[in-house]
Amino acid sequence: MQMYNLSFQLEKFFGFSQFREGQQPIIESILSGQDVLGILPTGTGKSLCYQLPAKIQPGTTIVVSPLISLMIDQVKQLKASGYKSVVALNSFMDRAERKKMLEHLDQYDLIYMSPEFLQNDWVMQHLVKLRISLFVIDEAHCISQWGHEFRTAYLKLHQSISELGEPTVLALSATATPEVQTDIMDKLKRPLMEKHIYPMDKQNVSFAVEHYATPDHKINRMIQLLSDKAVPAMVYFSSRQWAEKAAYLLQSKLKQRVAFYHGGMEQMDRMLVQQQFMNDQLDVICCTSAFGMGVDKSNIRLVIHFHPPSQLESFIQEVGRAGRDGKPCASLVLYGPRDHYLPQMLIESELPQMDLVQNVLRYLHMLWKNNTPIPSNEEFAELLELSESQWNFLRFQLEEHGVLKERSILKDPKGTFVERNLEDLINKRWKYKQAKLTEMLQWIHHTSCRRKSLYESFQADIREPSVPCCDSCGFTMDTLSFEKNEIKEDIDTWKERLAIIFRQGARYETKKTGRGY
Amino acid sequence: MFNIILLTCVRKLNGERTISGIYNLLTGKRSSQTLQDAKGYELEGYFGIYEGLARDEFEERFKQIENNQWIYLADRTSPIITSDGARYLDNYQGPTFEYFSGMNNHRNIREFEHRLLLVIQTITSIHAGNYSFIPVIDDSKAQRWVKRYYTSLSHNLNQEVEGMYNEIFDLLNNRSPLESELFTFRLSGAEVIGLTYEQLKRKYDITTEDAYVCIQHVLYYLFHEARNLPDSYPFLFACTRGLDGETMITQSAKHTYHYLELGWTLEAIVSKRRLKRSTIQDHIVEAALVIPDFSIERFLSFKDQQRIIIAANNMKTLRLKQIHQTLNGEFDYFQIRLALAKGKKLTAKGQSYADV
Repeated sequence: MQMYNLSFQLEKFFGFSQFREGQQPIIESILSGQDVLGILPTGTGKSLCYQLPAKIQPGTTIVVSPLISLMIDQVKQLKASGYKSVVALNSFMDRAERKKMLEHLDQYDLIYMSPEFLQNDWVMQHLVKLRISLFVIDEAHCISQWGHEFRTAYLKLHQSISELGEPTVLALSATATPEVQTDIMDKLKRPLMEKHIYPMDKQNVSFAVEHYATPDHKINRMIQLLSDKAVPAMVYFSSRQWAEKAAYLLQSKLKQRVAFYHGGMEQMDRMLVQQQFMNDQLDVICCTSAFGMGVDKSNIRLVIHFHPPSQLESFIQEVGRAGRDGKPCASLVLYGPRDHYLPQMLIESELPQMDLVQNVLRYLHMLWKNNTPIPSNEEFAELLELSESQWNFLRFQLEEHGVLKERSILKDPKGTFVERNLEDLINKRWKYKQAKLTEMLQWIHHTSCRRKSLYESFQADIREPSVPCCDSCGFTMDTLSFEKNEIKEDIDTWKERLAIIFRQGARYETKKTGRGY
Repeated sequence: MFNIILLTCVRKLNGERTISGIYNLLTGKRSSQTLQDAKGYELEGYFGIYEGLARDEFEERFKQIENNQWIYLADRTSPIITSDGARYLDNYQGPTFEYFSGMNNHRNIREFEHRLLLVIQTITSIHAGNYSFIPVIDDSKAQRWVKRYYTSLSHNLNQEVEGMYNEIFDLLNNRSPLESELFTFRLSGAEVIGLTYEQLKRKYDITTEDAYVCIQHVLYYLFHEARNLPDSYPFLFACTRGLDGETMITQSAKHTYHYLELGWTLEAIVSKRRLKRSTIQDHIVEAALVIPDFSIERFLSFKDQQRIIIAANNMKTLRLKQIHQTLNGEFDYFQIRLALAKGKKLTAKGQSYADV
């Protein structure tokens, strides 16, 4: 690999003098044309593993990413850091904008898109004209039925890869058990991927779970804990309403600056809150799982779960946002007797019940008889009162069974095994999700070492923590002590604020420099 | 503060329009009815100043001023100001909103706001040596504008930043402290990120709507001053450049207007466009409202226009039914609406700020 001086290129394009653990061997393998499966914990700089090769290799790199907001964030951060030849193709663009982008695709080194976008023939027509040197699947666990966020469009990626001329493939995930790893390689039809698996146990985090009878008790506990420890903290909730409500309660009782964040907020407000938090203008953020992806704040000391997530994988990712600077941090789960209901309801909204499935089949049967194509996805979902994820799931399964192809019905879904097969599948998936939730709940009620129990399905050896381990091993939250967070002085008048925005007035006199400073 | 706007609307509408009419006005609904109300009741300034106002929030605020007994509802739908309400309005000491010119500028202001917020963040960040910041404004049009503007700047960034600061400082110094506070805390710079409306509301113990209208009003004010005194405010003036020529007419009305220009009759347009007669009439009224030199003589003689206006003025109403009856049914509603649409220009009285 002497043909690329990697350290030099790293410095040149990203301004870093050193690779982080895992990055260099992965990049070297990719550049030699080897397919790679990389499992690297959150916050270790996974994306650099393709961003650097995209810059230095000839040809184009495609990155398939499941979330539009995540893509847009990444592109923004890349552009902000001076990496300009990057674009995210997404459904937020209007037709004209998309057309313009597609016609100039060869100008980009790096193209992000959703797996659904890749299924679009029009998009594919433009992509096949390019020379694709690297095909990246981010959040690759979405390929697996056993991954915690199964996305049906991920299952078709192997077709796209072959249509694009079999480029080198890099599959990345932060959370994939050995079972999921195998499944990823199977579904991509790439059995010979080189595995680069890095341990995910965080050595600088202490774990604790505390039980409370009611939400009010949880709030009081947070107030007590946070008034004692003024450090950057994230609190996760499973509903938007709760994130807002708790933020208001904390605001009224704490001197820290508290805000809420969830997917229901306006785009600009989300951006402002996120940047305030990164900029240390906020101390505590009350959020749903929508917050966090793409947020690279190094000094978060405390991650509190006001509600438990529906699986360990999400929990590991969310806790992974703490202590990226390597300094001590802690995870606290506040658990109440009724807390298993919310995740349960979430699971129900993702999977269709059998009566819904029967409705869909009956409706398709009618359309088939009348020789009518099916309505658009949105219309269809609305008509039959399906959630988006429910219809995605069904549509993919019906395509697999040869009933549907895009908008046309190929065969009568009635009187075949389709219904029974679907029922089997849904039951399986249901059981799987329930088992995942049970795993999470078991972890909460676990009585021996939490660290071991959390990570043991992902790796064989658990490393010694650099901080107190967990409540089962003698740690309690009250013994926790952090360096005091410096709360920035409050600015009161508009004149002061305006002076700070424009860096005018006495405090900036000495710092003034010209352009290009 | 937002209350003041609501009460002003109620007072001017004189019990002749519903709450929905006020909502349509503030959110800038492009219907001939709303345009006509804005003109007829001299509320052009407020047209479209709050495009994102949620219906339920709006109704909530209305309920509050009703509970305060500042208004009451005639026929359950049409608000009328009470003497308490009028007294409150007359004695009000807070920020005043004389610079709103929504009918002419509400779209321009949106663009102006994006440019201003983004250019301040960009230039101050670069000035501080920070080239990697995440823009707070997502609008790609504004982003392109800022790029062009930045390259047009002189080499002395110190001086440029100082100039921007001085312009904004001078102008804010003339506004109420609350407006200046809200506006500056909304801005993002090199070292601080602006606040959300939610956060402003909490910081100043006001409503989100109050915070919103105050900030919007400062924007209208800056826009106005920059346009008036480009030499004194070159930076702000640059932010307004290219933002004019807003025609309020809807696309469909434009088609109708096109046929009228070609000399088609109303009936011919109805059958050509396969639209209802009343729809085409709406288009014609809309054209009369927003196209300054549009002549309505073929529908109504100048003399008849005057008769209708005088009748309306005498009765102090814009209610079609009353005018119709007073003139003994001589004119149909379409003709009355047309006359009223043209009316202000005819009598040339009380030009509101928005027309200047």
